Amino acid sequence: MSTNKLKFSRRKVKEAGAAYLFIAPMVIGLLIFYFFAFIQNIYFSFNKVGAFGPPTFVGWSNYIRLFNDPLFWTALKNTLFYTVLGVPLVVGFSVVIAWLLNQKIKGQTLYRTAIFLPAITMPAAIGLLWRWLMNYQYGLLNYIIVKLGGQPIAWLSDPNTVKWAILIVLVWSMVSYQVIIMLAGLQGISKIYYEAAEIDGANKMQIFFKVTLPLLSPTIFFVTIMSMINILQIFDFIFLMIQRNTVAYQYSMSLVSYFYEIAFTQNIRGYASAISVVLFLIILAITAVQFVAQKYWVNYD
Amino acid sequence: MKKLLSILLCSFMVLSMSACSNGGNGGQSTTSGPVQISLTLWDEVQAPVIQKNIDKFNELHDGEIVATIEQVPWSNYWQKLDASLESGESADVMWMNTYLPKYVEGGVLKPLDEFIQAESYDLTQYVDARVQAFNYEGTQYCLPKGLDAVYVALNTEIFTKYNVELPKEGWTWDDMRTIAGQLRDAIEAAGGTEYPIVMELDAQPSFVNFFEQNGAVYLSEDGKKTGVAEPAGIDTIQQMVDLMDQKMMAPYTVLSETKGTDLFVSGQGAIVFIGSWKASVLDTSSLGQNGAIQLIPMPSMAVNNKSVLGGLGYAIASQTKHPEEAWELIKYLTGAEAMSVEAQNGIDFPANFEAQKEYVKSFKNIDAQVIADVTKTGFPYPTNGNFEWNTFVNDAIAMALSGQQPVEQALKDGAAKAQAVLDQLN
Repeated sequence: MSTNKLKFSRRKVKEAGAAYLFIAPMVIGLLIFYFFAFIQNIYFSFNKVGAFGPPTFVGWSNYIRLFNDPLFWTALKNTLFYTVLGVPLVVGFSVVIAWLLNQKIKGQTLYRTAIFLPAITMPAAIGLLWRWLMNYQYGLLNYIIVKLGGQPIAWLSDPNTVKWAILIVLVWSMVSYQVIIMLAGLQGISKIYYEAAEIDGANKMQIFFKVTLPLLSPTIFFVTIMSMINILQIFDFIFLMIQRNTVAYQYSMSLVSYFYEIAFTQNIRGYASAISVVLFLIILAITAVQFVAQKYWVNYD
Repeated sequence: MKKLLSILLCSFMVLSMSACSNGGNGGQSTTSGPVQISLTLWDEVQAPVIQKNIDKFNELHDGEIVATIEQVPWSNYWQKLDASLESGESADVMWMNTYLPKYVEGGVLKPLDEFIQAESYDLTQYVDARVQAFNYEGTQYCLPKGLDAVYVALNTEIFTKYNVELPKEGWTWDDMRTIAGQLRDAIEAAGGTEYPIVMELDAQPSFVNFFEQNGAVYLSEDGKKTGVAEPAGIDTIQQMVDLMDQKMMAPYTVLSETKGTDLFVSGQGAIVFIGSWKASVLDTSSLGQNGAIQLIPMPSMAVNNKSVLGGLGYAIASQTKHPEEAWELIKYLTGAEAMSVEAQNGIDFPANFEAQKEYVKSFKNIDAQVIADVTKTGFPYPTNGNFEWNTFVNDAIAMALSGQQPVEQALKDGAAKAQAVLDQLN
């Protein structure tokens, strides 16, 4: 077995050393700003931490408080709403749009550019743009609805619609990036399969469901995981589109919004850390389940 | 060759990193040159004007003190301030607002009493409510820079258009309801789209004033009790809800999506409750340029028509190595000369009485004397440095104003949660 042991020449060791040196600034940054912060965050979640002064150990009390805090449950419920509806919508739209973009159509580049545009737009710009599009009085959406003979909708201030409004913007902004990944996945599928299917007399629908989808499943899996993690951390659009002092905020805030408020408005840092640790555990658990479940539907051949 | 290059690059990196960490420590020079002090603030609009004042200050203390500005955007001003105070690298002088108690309790601000007593510094040159706002449990921590007052602006074009008489100073909420009712009927009859009353639903330009004016207690003076769920408090919010229900005020959906001020300057509101921080918006709006904006103090509720007074102050970090020089700087910056310059540029309403005249003169299209008058009777913003209790109260008020919950139920729930937080503070 000793022959399996990796052996490097002196030259290679030297080169590896240089490589480590070059990535050192990145790695050090990662260690300090991510790894250290992550550990410190867990430590803080068992302490009472104010704006100043050293933390004092309080055991599980931040977590106990969490379970008795109705606002935490509201935030969790809202976050799950965005995730449960958002992930299938993002995945579904990105598969369909990528498939359409992969057809031989006129103006293909134009469509691809247009679809990709939201991905390179700042979330702040997207939020502010949609905030005006959805404005109750002056918004373009309501203008169209009224022209078509409908009643204007208070997208961003009616507690019943505000979550849907956020969901629309979220899906709209996320699909564009995922489409590009799906497109890459589609183009990675060998033409042989399609030719074989055509020779066997499969129609377009059959080809899509029996050839394209199974072979695209690794990409779909990747997109599902990534968009799920992203949506569970939703913050920016809520922060940008809903004013904090309105009732709509109480009906749309996510876990990260709640974390932000507790940590930076109310300065209860220990409790805020506990919220973020719980969010981390939720993401970890769901991702773990996905990785187990993938055996049954993801096709790596 | 490669090796040489990488060593070179690394040493550059190390150098630039150490240069950065030295940069934060403004005033550590031990040589006999002029003392270096720094001032941190957030407002990029005010910074150029304040820089002019700093230049003048440096000129006056040529060879002795050199002051510089470290501008940090509002979005991370407080986070950065906290971190720099904690690590002992903060600026010598900083902008401070209602967050004061948090910093006093953290022990990071220098009490100013010794300076004030040593030279019998005259605090009556400032609006008293602002001096009091920066006095925490008997100790002065800031000199007040400017202040925010709330008043009412009227769109005279709408009043003329619908032939309704303008309110006069000394008006009451009853008068306001009569006027708003007349406007509402006239607008409806003519098929207009304007609203009689609009306001911003943030605490400061609306209900914090109304509670005080209606004899209710948003937060008791000792900071230990909220009285919003007492009858006077419930009545206050109910009166706001009634205005909306009777279509005298724009509906909640409209006000929560479009700021009251924006509705007003776009000609959609006849009466707006508005803060002095928006005065320059009024002055430069086309409505203002048409001479259609008239200012008036707020109408009285059951008790009075006093305005809440917010505003900024200058505080000195207790870790500064040059307290004397820092004190000179904040005296100069809040003094008549420097604040007159700020007033002439219309960037802040001075807490310094002498400089207030310049503020009134700086507006071309509105009579800012009304704002100056309002500040004479104002009361300090009720705060105790905790921001958990008021989240419960403000959220409950939003629930009530939006009609999601009946006023009494919403306020009782909110006040109970808020009081639980307040009870734990001491």
